[in-house]
Amino acid sequence: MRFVVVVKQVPDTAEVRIDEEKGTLIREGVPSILNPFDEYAIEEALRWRDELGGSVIVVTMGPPQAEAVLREAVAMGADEAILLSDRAFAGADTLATSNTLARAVSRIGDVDVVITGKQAIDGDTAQTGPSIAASLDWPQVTFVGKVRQLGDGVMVAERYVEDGCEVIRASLPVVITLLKDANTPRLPSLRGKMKARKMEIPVWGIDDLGLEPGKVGLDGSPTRVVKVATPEASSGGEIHRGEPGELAALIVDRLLGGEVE
Amino acid sequence: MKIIKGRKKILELCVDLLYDESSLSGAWCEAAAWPETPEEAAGYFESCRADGLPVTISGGLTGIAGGALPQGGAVLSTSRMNGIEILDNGNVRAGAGVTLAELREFLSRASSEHFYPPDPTEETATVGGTVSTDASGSDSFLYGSTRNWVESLTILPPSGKLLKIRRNDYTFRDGTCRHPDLGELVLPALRREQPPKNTAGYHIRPEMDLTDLFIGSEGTLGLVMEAELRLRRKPGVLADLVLFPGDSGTFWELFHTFLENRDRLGLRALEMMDGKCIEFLGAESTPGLPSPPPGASAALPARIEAENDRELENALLLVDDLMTRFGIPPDMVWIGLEPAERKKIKDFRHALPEAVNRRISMLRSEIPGIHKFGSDGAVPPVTLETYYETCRAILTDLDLEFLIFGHAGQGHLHANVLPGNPEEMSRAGEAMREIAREAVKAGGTISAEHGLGRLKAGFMPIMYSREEIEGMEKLRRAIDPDGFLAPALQIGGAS
Repeated sequence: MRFVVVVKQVPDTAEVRIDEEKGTLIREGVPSILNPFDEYAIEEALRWRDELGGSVIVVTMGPPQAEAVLREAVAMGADEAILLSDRAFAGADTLATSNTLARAVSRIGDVDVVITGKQAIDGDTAQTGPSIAASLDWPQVTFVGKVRQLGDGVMVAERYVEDGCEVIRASLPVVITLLKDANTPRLPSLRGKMKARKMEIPVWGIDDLGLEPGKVGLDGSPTRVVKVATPEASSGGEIHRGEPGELAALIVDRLLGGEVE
Repeated sequence: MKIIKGRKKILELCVDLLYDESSLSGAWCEAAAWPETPEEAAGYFESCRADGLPVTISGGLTGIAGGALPQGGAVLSTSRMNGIEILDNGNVRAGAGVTLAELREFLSRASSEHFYPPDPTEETATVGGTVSTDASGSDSFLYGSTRNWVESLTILPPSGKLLKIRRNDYTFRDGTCRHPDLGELVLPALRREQPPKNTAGYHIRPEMDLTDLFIGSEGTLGLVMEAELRLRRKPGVLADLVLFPGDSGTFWELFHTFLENRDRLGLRALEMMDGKCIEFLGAESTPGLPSPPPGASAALPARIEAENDRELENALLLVDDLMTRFGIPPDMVWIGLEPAERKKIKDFRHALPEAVNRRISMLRSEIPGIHKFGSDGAVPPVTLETYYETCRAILTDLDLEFLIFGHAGQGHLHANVLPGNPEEMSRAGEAMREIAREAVKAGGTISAEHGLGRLKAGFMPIMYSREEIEGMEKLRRAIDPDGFLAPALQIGGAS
């Protein structure tokens, strides 16, 4: 069985600071990491490959330095990695991105399952996975918490939604987006890490994918960002400093005094 | 200066001063103060002396031997001594109350290319506390304990006259040192040299520096107000590894081979978790953390540091060779290079003591008073396998549930016992004594890093003769003639 895992390099949001004056994110000096949800996608593909045989190919679209996240996936055990990188891809929204990724899946060929993380922690749109499925005209199952069964042209998965769990049977090939509930990602092995450090990673550009300039990057992106705003911080909090005992006494006083509801 | 007086007020306003990580109960005191300056601390010493209250010094309360817990008298908390600055000589000067987390944060904000190596795991431990207990932790395999990083100390001795002692200002010659304020200090002659990693009794070397007497003295000789600490240049790259050999024979061969190749590998830490730990981690898995791979008999966590990628590559190639030589399959060796991966390995290692503590808390809710027992002995690393087997035999014979982990590279093991009832508690106490005796027999120590505090002071006679213990007491009385500091900490036995 052939798996493609689509991953993304994102800024480590735990390290992002905010420019107080402009209300925008300061991205300079912020380390880039593998989108945490994508680790679960990689792990899921590796587990099924180990059980059923086949291969795991990990794909990302991004600038040249995005290949770092592909190496992380190879260190975990992915068989191959492909970087989609071209100046023409810059400025892509989720539609242009998924068009490009879908074309890469077609070019890889004979793919049974495409897995992505639920969403990327930078944009938080959760659109890319479903949009790849639409572009390929494949079935899609989003928010998968457990893949129950895979093989013989069929996948059965549990989809966790607000009011319960949907069990969905889908024909292959299929695109799924994965929740953290699905598994616990493994740590890279030493051999995997060494392989990853040496591996030559092929780079596919717009010509390799046979895409028209109007379908990729900024030109292929109908999304227009009109305004970026920081929500008003709710006010009215108080900060008290002191020894824990004193602070506890203060809280008790306030609660008993009816000042806090 | 903030002062709270009266037992009731203490319970009401700062009860946290009466508990630390030792889970010892029954601490109490008449007064507590939070001085910020040497003058305030000296003033408090004076007023306590006038009131007949001996003083116990309290830092981050992360100790597990109960050294900061008062048995009456007064408490002096260092938490407001939190000045910190980088000096022209490149060292850092930090107040006793600065936590290790604050120190790291300060160095990172100062964009320092340097770091402070001692890392005893507890980030809320303070500079004063770690100096007073000579804290170590896993990286002390390469860097040694806190002692190695202290350049000078500002100390308030029981006399109340502030001392500044810099390394090489005052040294012992043939066990004797003369200091203008402290007078003549005489070290007891020991029958044998203290082991390299040791926190049992005062640090004693006939030709040592005076600062070394105060480091690790658990607040019995003076209040450490401030320390000048040396820093080290950050290494280029770090790698965390966990090797999971399939059988214990391979584990020990691998351990010895790692020890022999410590320089070639650039080993910063070399740890171990035995088979019981692996079983325990498998059964009490922590959400989000990978379980040990199936078939693992034990784990050998190691940290490697290198100047650059090339050097790291060479070290990893050597590990790879060893894997082939010892027949360890690829998925039985984890590695973390990226910060997120390294954090997972760190979490994996810390999950063990945390899982043990969770289990103990659960037991305690059923049987009040149950607590964990942990040994802290160390032996010469080459004899570790024998010592480990001896620990196992002792615990197995006493029919106790236990697991053993620790800083294998330093011959230092923590045998943890999880007693299920009061009867097993008393057997566990017996086991701890027996294990301490075996460590000393093998040329080691009864306590390599936790210190004796109140919990294990009774173990002193296992390691030292009566004359040696009396010699240490005499040394203490030379500095503190009327038992003003830490009266609950009795050298050689519980009060």
